Amino acid sequence: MTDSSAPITLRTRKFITNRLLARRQFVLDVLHPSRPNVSRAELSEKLANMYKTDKNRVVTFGFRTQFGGGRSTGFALIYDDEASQKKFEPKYRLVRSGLATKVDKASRKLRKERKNRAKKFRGTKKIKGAEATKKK
Amino acid sequence: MENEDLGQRQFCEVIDDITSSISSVREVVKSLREKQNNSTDLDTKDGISLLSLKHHLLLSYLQSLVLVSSHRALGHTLNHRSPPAQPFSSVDRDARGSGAGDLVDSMVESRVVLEKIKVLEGRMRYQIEKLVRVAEEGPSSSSQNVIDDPLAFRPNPQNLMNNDAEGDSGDDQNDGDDAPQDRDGIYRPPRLAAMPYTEPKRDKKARRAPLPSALSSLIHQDPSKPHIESTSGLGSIPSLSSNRAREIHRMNEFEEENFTRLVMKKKEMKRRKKDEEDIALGGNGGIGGRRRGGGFEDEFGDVLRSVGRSKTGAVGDGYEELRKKGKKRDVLERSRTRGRDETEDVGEDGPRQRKRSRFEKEAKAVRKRTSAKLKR
Repeated sequence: MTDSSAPITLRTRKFITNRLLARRQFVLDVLHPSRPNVSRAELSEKLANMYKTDKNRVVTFGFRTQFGGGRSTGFALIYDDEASQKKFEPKYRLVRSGLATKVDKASRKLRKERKNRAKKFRGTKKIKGAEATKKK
Repeated sequence: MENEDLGQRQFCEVIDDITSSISSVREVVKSLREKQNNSTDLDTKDGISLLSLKHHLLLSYLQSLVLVSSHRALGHTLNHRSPPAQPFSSVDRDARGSGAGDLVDSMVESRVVLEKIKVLEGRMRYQIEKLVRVAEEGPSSSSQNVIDDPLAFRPNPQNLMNNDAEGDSGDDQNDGDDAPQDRDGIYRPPRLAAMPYTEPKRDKKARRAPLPSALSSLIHQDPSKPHIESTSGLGSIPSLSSNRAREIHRMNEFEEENFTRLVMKKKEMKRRKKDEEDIALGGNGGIGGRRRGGGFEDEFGDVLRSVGRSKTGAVGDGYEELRKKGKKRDVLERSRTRGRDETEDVGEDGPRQRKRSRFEKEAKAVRKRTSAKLKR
């Protein structure tokens, strides 16, 4: 039943050219009758072909399949250049498209605990105190 | 000779009878005449009373009957009639002719009037009885005063009250204490006053029937827009009949407008998904207010809820049950009658799992081992 080579239909709605954010944005309707959900990578490839841009400039997100399958709706952005993309895109989407790396942080709880411990000291002693607790 | 004498003697006797009876009649007529001229007893200026009307009618009826029977005895036909011109209700109406047919007509007339008189007399029965009682007491001074007093024969409401009291306390009294009303063996039902009908208090749970969606959708649909019909029967897209449907539509519009997806909790997300599915199949939102219905679960509700649980264990939904009901078991199974065993299993919700005792488990293990050994 799942045919990976079945044709897909892409429809764009509410097309806006956003000069302020240097991009074109629209709502994307994907019709995929005999296939499960289409991946975002494939969609950005197809859009790049349609709008004659680099597939790295195309960002797709927010896809929800309608009841019964065969149809999903989401959003897509096409940036003019990489610089504006890096400037205006949120971090998580840059990580998704590979233009940024994920910052590994300690867990939120750990960070807060450290902060609270650091509240006890003043100035450079904070660093000493942090090192002491880390060694623990 | 002797026969002739006998005949003559009889004839003379008859003639004598006739003369004597005629003379007595003459006397009666004379006295009546005197009465009419002198006293006011027979004055019919104001009309005759109901009771005397009854007597007159009965008398005329009997007369006509005798005459008709004599006509028939003589062999005359009963068709000669000369009816009066005016209708029955006019006051100065001519008397009927004396043909045989007229006699029959007058008999019919008096019969009808007598029946009506009977009804009226029934209504006046109370007063008539009282008058008769007074008359039977005998002529005394008090009776004259009583007759002249118009309120002497007024109805007695005490009688009504007595009947009610007897009806209520009839259960308490013994069988020996017979109420005077029941002594003549006639059952008289108790008289009850009419009360207005008040509807009983309906509890809050007893809902009225929900407004049909065809009518309720008229409120929300725009009549200026063209009406959309579809072959699937689910109607116009989107048919926003319930509040939940409109809410979800608004959410969707917001998302598309602002290029985001709404942030929701998991629960809300699940509910939204479920409601979207329900609405897509023509129902209202799942928790969408008082009216639940129209969606998939409502349309196939009676099949999906397992109506009769089958013996072969928990079947998912009603489709499987229906399929299995139609299938016949093979002949071997049908010939095996389980009898008492069947009723024991299906008691509560479906067949119980036989609690495997330790002995049964061990026996099963041994059987497995032996069968494995045999296979090797």
